[in-house]
Amino acid sequence: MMQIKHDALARGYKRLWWRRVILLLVMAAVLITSFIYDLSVGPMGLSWWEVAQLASGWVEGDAAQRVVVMELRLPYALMAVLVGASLGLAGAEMQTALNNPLASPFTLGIGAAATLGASLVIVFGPNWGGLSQMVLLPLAAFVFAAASCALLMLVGRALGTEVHTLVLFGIAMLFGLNALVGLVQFLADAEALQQIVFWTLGSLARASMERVGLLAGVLAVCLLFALRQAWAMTMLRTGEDQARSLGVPVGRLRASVLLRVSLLTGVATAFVGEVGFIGLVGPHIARLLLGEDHRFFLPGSALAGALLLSLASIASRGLLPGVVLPVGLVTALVGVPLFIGLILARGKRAGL
Amino acid sequence: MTLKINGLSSGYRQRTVLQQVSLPSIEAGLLVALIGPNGVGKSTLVRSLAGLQPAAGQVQLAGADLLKLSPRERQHNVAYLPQTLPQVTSLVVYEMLLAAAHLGAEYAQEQIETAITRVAQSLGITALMLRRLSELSGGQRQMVGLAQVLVRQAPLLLLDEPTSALDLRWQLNVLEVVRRHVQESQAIALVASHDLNLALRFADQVIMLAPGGECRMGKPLEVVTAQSLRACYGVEGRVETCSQGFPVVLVDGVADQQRQ
Repeated sequence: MMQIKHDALARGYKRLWWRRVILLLVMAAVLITSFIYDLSVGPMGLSWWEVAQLASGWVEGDAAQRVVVMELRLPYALMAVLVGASLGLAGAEMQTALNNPLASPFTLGIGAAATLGASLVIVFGPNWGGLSQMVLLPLAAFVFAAASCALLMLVGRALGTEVHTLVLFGIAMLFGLNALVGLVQFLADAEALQQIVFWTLGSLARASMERVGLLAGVLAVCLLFALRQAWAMTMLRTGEDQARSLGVPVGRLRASVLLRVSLLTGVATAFVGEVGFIGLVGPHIARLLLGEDHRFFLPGSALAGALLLSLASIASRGLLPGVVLPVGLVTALVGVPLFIGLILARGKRAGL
Repeated sequence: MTLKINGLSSGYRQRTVLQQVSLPSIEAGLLVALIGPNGVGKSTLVRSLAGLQPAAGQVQLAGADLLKLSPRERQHNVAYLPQTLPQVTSLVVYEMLLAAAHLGAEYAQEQIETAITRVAQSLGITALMLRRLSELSGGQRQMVGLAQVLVRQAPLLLLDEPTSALDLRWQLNVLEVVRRHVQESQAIALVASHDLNLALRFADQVIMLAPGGECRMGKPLEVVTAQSLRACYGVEGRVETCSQGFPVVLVDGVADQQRQ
């Protein structure tokens, strides 16, 4: 009798485990579909099947088709997937480490810091050090994002374990940085102002294969290190005291999370500008679907973020014929209905 | 294995709560209740043994000084249950136990399932195991926290008010399980509690912390007496034996201020 009950519990969990693995696979499959469809959207009139054949090298295609798909659309679509995944992962880690469902790279000022760095270059420094704006602009965005994360880390260390204060500090930093960006905009001439506004709307048009490769590398390394701390982060969700009494070095965990967040957000934002919303909502979608066992939650958040931005990328070119809308705008337009739908579907089980 | 606390001091930045607390050594296999009025330092004592609060002094457990161990070494010796578990988490109970077993105990992969099932059965929470923590009541969450502690197989269990949110039946059930666990695995449980009747009924030893830093340890009926109730809690009370043979504390009223 005891033996039967025992097996029932272990089997029950195995089923839950499989459900989560399958959900992850389904998310990955939907992402791949969305990615291929993203490649096919455009005035060339290629079907998704033709595109899939071209991209995988099965069919040669004519030269013009190859150039459009491989050199224009491929970096664009890959960038959408990678930036989405990076922001989703960064948001998930932040929400756990700071124990706050509203934490994300953009709600705590890291995105605003990147914007400040970019605007300073746009307005004051087109020729600093002989570097072109193509290099200088992402570099400044990255440096500022990393610096804001470092500041969060230092404040965190000074405050000890009071994690809510850290979130408040991040929000204060957001407002301060936005004011500084406003000041720079006020001082800028009309042309520079337009450039800054475009930056804050977020755009995938600056994608290139080198940048895709760099971001893919950063994402792979960060995801690997994050997964190594998956049990510790899961434990942190059952309470900070519980985690600390289990030997989880909570302070060090938080510092390593912020380091990864600064890398992910800094590099992603440097290449595409501000794409808010994904770092906040990607993790919530993953939480609704997969729960908070971080072995599933972390990759799930990356997948959810990637899917959101990939869908946004499709919509940014498909909504208005002949116009490419800034993808940062579209993320909210696509993401909000999707998110609300999920919440309504799952009702109170959300635990948000 | 024994636990020996010698000259333990601890507190917060401005205020010392425990000053030079020393206790006779505690043998393996015992459930020890830690009682005393509010603010006297029960939680502080438990938390400083768990490494959650800086403390000075010596705490010998099986030859090692707990206060000098690194967090990682300490976690193999000590399992701590806080007063409350967070309400807002979508973790499934089974996953919480998995995390505790992975981080806090040295199970082989295939032993983990068996260990989790055994703990769930002993606490009677098998039906809760695949539900999210946020769906559970306060008492059920407390049971889950206790399950996390038991699955770790640490030699020293530190439980801070483990029965505070439980109804009558679960109070008995939980302490019965803890007592059996302690006896079977020759562990030591230190249970901070406000419930003197539960302490009298289940504890092998009682530590009474009194305001002013005094502390006494001994058999329950030696420590909980009319005099100590007056001195420690400021109440007039009696310890009597009920018709079933259990000792019970009856409180008659607040003690006269002059006699304290």
